[in-house]
Amino acid sequence: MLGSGRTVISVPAFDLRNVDTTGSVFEVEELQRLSIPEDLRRAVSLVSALCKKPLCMTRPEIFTHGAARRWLDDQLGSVRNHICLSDGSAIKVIDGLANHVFLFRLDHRRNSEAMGNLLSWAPELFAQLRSQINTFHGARLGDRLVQPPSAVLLPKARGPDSKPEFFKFSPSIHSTEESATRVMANGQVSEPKLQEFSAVTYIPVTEHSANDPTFSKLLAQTIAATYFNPEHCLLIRLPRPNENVADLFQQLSVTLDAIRGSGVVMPRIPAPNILLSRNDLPESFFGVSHHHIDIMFDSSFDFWLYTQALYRRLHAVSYVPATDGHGVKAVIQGFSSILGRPPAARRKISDATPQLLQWTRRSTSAARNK
Amino acid sequence: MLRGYVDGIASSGYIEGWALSLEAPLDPLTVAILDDQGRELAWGLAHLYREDLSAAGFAAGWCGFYVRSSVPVSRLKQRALTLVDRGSGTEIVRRYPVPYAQDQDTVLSTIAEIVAADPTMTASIYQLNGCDNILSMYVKERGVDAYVATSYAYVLGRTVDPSGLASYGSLMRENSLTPFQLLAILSNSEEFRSKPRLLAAPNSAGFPFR
Amino acid sequence: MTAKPKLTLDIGPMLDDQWTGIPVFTSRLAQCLIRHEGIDVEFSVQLTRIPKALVLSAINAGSGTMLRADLERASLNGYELVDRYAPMLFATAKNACTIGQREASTVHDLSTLVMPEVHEDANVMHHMRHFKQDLATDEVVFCVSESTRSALKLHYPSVAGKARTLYQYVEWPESYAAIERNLPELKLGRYALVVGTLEPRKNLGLLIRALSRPEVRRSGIRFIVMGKKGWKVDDVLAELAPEDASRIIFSGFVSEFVKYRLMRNAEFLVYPSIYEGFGIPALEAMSLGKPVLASMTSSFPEIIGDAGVFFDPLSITEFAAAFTEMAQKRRQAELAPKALAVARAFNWQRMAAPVVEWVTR
Repeated sequence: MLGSGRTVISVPAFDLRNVDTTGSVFEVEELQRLSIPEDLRRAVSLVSALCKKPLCMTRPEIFTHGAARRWLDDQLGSVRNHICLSDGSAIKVIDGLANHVFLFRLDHRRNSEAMGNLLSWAPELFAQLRSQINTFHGARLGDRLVQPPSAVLLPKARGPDSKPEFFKFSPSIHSTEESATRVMANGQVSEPKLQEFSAVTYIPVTEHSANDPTFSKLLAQTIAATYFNPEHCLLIRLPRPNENVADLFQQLSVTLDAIRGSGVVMPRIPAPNILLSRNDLPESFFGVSHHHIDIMFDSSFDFWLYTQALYRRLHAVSYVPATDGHGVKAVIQGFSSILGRPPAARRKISDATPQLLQWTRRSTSAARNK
Repeated sequence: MLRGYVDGIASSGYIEGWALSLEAPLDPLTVAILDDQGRELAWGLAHLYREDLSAAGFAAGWCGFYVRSSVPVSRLKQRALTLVDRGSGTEIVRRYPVPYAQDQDTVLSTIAEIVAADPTMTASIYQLNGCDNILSMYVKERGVDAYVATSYAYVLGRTVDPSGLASYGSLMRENSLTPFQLLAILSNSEEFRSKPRLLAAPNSAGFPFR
Repeated sequence: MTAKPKLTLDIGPMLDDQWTGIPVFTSRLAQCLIRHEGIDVEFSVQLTRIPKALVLSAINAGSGTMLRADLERASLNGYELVDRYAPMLFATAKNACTIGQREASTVHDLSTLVMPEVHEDANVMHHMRHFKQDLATDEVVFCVSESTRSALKLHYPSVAGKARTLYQYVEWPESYAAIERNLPELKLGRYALVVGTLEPRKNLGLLIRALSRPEVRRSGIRFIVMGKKGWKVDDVLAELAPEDASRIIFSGFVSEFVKYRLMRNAEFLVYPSIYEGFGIPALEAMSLGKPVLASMTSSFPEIIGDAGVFFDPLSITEFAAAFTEMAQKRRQAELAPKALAVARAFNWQRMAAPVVEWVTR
């Protein structure tokens, strides 16, 4: 993916707004010593593993030309590659270098919307990228689709997680607010013992996917089905906090609103086998011996936070493509390379939406258009 | 026709007086002070506000000058000084002797003092109370509504709201409110006090009623 | 006698009450096009023709409040529409016009694209939603600096062939020098004038942090920041030792003349902003013979040339070193004539030229 020469990694300036760096260009070790968001830290670690002693910067865009650019070139020395870590609000390129983008944190709706706007406002910028890491986006440029090649990069190990907090799914017949209140009032429950279930499905919900009718409907249908299948355990991860989803009540409200708004009929009683998790489930939670764990997520989920080893252990991986339909081929290529096999199924969800992609561990023949 | 006078010499090194063109009183003259050999001793704009000039009805008070002498003023004590329009060389007045007064050197050592010494802005709305004729002419030529709207723009920096336009307009039409009084009311308002603005001096390009 | 080619200039930015940045640019553009004898310029706001007299009044006032008030009053009676067959130039974004047969707009900087986090979301949307279409339908795209033009070509390569640089200029009213010579002298001690706020882009925080550096303390130089203090500044200053915090003063909003005085009597200008489209305060300072201590980024090296000392705006060490160099009177004396020479290269003829070249081709 990266050519010869060193690499400079640019990181979102907003993430470093409360810390001081020694200058505009600095060593990656300096960044790693700073107090920065955890997802950024993991992204930096991931891409750093690709490069030999990368440099870092926050604002490549300010060195536009002339003396300023010559100054930057002096700082960068033998750097030939630039990886822009972007939260979707801006994609930085450095003229003359091989530019790549690593998009993350698109689970926050504000960021995924900003990303969508950016692709619409500046498709020529996107077209210049040598690759996109762990994403599969495309943009319309006139009458053609531009899609930088997607490269998949997963960590060798996930890194520490905080202990998950579980809550019982307890929908109210009345309103989202009441449901959320009831869930909180019931308090945390103990960690489920996965071995007690014949199958486990894990669905990390994001603020973005909660606002996607396709995803919400699939989520709601899965919940409804799980009610009638007590041997099945469904674990729903609530959206990660951000300025819109700042606390547990809001995390619950966003998720429960999505479920309620899907229109899918389901029982309005607590379900012992449907649990909500406040935060990401660590890899260790899934253990090594359970034979049937499925995961379902969409394009906004930072799937790269989990290892290839985990994905290959899972029974099924289901991916809900973006509604614009761009990048499905690249998704298939990317996840097929992670999982070591092509998708087993492309399930049509509705006329208006792209097909759900499924990779299952056992099945090798396609079961099309179920 | 040019009018003016040399009022005095100050020990701090300045020559003081006033000058204006009767045809264009709000266009400040550039004046010079010459000695009897015609040598220029000082020059500058006659654009400063003085209350006595306002009371006398000269350029609404905004035609004073206070110019720095290039020679020590002690040497000017018993000499005649001639005030001229620097652009045309027209003599305005010759005075002998010119009174000499002791004063303090002024030093501007804070931002507030520098701002207070800024002659391009009014220091207070009451420095415009000699502008009645100018303001009334504006009302006559443009109408009451235009005057009220311009007053809002000038003092408060915004478009006049319909209720302000209606109530002040009506008061002015009844002659219950003079043009200057409207400016005073607006500058004493809570809105102005909470967001004070700089108001251009009447002899500057930014004064909208010229 | 052949009629002069016509041009309509949209002066929308001049409707602002207090003029900074883009309104000042627009005013200068209007003035230089009026002065140019090669074209006949008319003015508009939102495709409505504005009488030249109103525009000149606004230029003289240095504010758009009266112009806006006049427009509101006159809108009831109606103004004429622009001549859509005359070339139309927008002094900033045109926001999807396409009424004119020949259109051009002006790009000041790409900050809403490359650093949207320093803007409100609504501002980003306002600037970007029609930007691509504006570029596509412009016959020429004027950029206020080579820095902006470079950034535009990088992000929109298809526009490279029609992007032009349009440099503004500085002209102080002739009366200012005459007024100043008779006012009492300023006795503020050694000071540098500063442009900046605590916003991340303007980077005043770097200077504030530098106040406690020994080399800055030792210099005996105070800093006067143009403009209001802004919120959060007191909190930041409270973290400094009182003797350090006392060396930075905020002027508040002052008149153009007071700004002129402060600039003329300063030793140099400090401009720590990380990114500017042009940076007119730098040119203002240089026109008064003042060198500039500025960031080595965006338009600064281009506009300031050899009249400045530059630093990495994210490095307090580099700032302190550059400041130490600029604090020396000998260095200031070397740079002062260069500042005047650089400023002279920016003049009304140079600003008008690319516009006239476009209109007359």
